[in-house]
Amino acid sequence: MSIRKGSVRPLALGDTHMAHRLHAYLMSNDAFVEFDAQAVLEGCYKPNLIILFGPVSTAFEKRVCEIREELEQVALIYVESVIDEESSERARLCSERLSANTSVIKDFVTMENLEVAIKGVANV
Amino acid sequence: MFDAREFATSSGLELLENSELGQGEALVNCPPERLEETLVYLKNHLDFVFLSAITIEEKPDDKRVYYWLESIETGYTLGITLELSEPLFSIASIYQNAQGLEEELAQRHGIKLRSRPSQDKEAQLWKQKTSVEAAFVDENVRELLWLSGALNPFGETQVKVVSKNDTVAGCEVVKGNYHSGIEDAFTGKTVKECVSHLRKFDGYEGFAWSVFFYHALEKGNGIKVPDKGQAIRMIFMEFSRILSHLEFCAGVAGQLKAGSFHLKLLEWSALLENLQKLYSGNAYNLGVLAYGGAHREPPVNWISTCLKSLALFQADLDAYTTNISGSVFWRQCADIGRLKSADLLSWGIAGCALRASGVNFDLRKRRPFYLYDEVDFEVPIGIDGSLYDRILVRLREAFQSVGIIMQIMDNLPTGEVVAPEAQHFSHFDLEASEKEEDAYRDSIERDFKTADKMYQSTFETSCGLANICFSTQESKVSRLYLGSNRLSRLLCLETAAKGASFEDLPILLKSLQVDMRALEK
Repeated sequence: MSIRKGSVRPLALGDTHMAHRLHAYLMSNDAFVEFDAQAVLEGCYKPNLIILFGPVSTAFEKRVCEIREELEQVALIYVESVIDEESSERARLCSERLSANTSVIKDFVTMENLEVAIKGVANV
Repeated sequence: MFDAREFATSSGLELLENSELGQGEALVNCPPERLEETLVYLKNHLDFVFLSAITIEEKPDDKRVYYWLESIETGYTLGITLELSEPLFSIASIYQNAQGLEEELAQRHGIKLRSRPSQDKEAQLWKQKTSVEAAFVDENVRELLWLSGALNPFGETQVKVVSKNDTVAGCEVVKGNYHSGIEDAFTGKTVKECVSHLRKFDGYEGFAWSVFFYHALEKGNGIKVPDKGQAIRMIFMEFSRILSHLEFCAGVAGQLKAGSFHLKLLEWSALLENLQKLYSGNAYNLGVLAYGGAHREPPVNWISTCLKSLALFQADLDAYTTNISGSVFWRQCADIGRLKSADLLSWGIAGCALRASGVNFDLRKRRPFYLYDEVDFEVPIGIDGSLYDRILVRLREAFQSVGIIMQIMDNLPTGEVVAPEAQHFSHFDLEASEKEEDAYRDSIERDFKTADKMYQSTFETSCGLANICFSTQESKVSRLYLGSNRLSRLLCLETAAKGASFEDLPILLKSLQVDMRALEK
């Protein structure tokens, strides 16, 4: 199933490198047909999905909540590549605190994992 | 060529014979009271202008500090070691970037630092801060606050800017916390786990960190990687380098709203990532590296597929670079963020930024490792270190890197991909049962032995010199240092921003490529 234009407008926060990878992936992936990569660069782009790359500090958590309030009706996917059990538990708790719609917490998070999560949130 | 023995003899210092460092590397023992004069001499007379890392090694009866220096002329790595005594003598007056490295050490180990220039600088900054507040009376003065990356649990790195009539009059980097625990999280991990997890560090350059982790270990344990293993490592390192350059250019293009070029860069990034995935099967290139070489032979048709795609990519890249070099739109970057080579050298910043300012320093040429002395490539150099130069140097370097990959693929050495003495650890049987696989994993845990000592390696990523240093205890990593010049890059903004247009600041910060996650490691 593919996601059509306008249905998902993601905003990546917390890690510029992962944001770059995600942007490249969305643009080149057939599952996201008509994903308007150009629109991301323009001011009129209003996100309806936040993809937050952890780990995040308390201050940043607060800022994400503020951004979420500003954007209204925005879904949240919490993503973190963890190193051990301890960081995995910390990530899970953080995801709960932020009331993320879904979370991807793994040793190595790939764009394919994100694709599944985005489709889950978009109900396709 | 620098001769460490001659230097040690003439200076009355002790060259550590058993340090087992590789070619072009040496370790010298120095009494604490002679540290300052030794470093001044090395910097001013023997061209050791880069300080790549400061590390600490702790043994039950001995605690030592290591200063890792790099020669700009020969690419020689010289380690100066001395007994650690607190408070630690600051060398920030000799190497400006030492203030960041010392700060990291102080935060990580709770070491006290002796009074140093940066403390005087803090006092100056405080004065400046007061003047910032006073200046708010004037309507033309604005303050911009950038908050740091997401990771920092204690304090945030901030950049404060005073601008007058849209021109930056003063800029101040307020220090944050540079040790959020990534390095400590590696303690107690096996070598294999460490190498894997390093892929997640520092963006695309994570692969280079993994390679040099193994490189240090192999060097210290006398393992010679066969030519074919070296070639495969080089291919993937060059892929990472190109991807890192493309990411940088995409970031700048995004800021400048250069839509079509930005999309092209994303398309190229996706293409190169997919080519790597055809070999490794995953985005992190897990399953490429092995202790002693590479994990396996390149898959069937991989080389021909790569050569075909890379030839098209190279032509495309060349056309775009030519367009950019003649474009009026891109020439606007020629006035943004000029970084003088003298400033960069004083901050110990190498890599593309230094080459863009006209200094021909590339560690792959100065001290060739693996098969770099057998491939033909040029080192692109800029003129005045502006953002325009930095973009062009990166695009030209990406072009050269494609050339390196194609040369290696065309002339891939024959033979084994992994050193015979390390072959057991890279055994890979797709048809093995789960039980056999478990038994194999257990045997690796049991048999994998490395000498318990300190290992280090200095290398160059696309962002500049990097240093990886770690110790092992019972074949597990006991202390890891990931030394890079991220903080120097941020501090460099204080100089680079002065006189710049206020509107150009975000792009200037972007062009310095300060990865906050890597900075706040």
